[in-house]
Amino acid sequence: MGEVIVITSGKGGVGKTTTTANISTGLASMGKKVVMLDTDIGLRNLDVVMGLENRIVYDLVDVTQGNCRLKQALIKDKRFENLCLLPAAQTKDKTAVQPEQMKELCETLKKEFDYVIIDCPAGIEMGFKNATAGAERAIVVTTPEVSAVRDADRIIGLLEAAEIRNPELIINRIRPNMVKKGDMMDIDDMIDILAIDLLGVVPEDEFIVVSTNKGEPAVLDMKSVAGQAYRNISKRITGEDVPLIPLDADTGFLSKIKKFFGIQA
Amino acid sequence: MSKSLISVKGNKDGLQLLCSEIGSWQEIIAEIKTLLSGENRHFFRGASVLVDIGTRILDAEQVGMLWQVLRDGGVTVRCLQTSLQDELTAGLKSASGAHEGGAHTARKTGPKMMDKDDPVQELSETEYILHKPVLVVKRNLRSGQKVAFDGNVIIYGDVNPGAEIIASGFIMVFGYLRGIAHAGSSGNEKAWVMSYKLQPTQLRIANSITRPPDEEPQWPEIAKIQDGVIVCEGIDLKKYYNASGGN
Repeated sequence: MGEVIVITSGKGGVGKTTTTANISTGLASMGKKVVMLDTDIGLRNLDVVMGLENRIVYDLVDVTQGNCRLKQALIKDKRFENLCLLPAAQTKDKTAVQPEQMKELCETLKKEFDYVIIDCPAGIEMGFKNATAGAERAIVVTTPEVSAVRDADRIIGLLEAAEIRNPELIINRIRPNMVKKGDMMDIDDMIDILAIDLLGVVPEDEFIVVSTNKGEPAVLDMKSVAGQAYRNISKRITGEDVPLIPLDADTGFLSKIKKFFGIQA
Repeated sequence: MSKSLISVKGNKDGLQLLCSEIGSWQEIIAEIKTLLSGENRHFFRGASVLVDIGTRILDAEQVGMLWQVLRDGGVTVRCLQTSLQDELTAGLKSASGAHEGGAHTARKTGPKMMDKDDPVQELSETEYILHKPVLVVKRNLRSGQKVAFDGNVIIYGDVNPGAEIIASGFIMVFGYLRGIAHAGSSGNEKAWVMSYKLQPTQLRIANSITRPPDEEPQWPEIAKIQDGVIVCEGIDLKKYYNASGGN
């Protein structure tokens, strides 16, 4: 029996879809059977980020309305045999699916797969309700901005009300230099307000833009710092204990000498 | 079967009525009614109880039903306890905005603990504490969550920005208060707000509204009305620190 995990945030543009793509690919690369479920009906993106857009025939709405069998709608990833995507419909809207149908769908999927990863749309309306209906575990993505943290707080409250206990936090797009200067909220500030467990911290990385445009998840690139962070997060999801990457990865020769003489970099 | 929705417990603090998570509120109310009018009615008469509503979300009308059925059974509510819900509006129908004041609606649905003829009489601070029911919330209040209650409110947890507490009595937060707090919402100027860290977005007491200073408080503080304005001051701990020479 697999696990159903919803990736959510409340605010848009914080990196839910990127996180879904990278975590799912990360888990798949570890040999797990994973299915991604895009619930952002009408504004689907996950297929583009995964580079699977041109393979879509049937979608989520077709499955729930019985126009096709579930197996027909699942798209196999081009890199991993054990990774599948169930895309959202682009021509309908969020009301085309009911929470009960989502629940049923998740029940069916989790018999076949180790992980069902749900990409939740922004907002707290129908789309959010659909995405969380079948989930038993939640990951909240936020960026180090007051507005994103405020929305994350609201979402955590709604998740708790929906009986999805102990959501975990991913802090995305953090800039160590700005945090050091005191221009950006640091991790402790955010944990203090949100009071939930930290699953991982993903540093800002220009490579993410390249990889999402190309449809190749960053998690597969060994040079990308964000990719490394997502690999660690995937491991933590499976229960492995991986320490956080130190944020100031400033381990050059000069800084070591400075450290030796006690000079602040 | 018939006793499954309500369980009665007693401890040193008195009687507790625990409402089951299953069953509609109507069924719960009916169950309480049969409980209080059944063979045990003499047992309950004159008792003061704690009602634990679990994770239910109640609106003013539903709380009104509860008050009514308990009052009919001769039972007073000492405390209404809740463990998890998005919004709790108990007794106060619309208490948004300090100037509207939920006074009238609150009096209608709220419990009349003291059988006095004049309902608008002003209670003293101690009377408020003794004669108003207390709502105890044991969790963090997050953005978008609201607690409105005709009585006193005690929160064991943080109140985050975007959350709101409205009480006709006092408000006590054992944690950070970063949201909006409105004490004495029905116009009681003796009400106060206390918190471990008093940093509300906005603070309202009776008909006064204020925004606290930006600097972070060093100790637990209490806010109350003095000469018509809301004043925040450190409580006991501050005096203690000053007395011992530290800061």
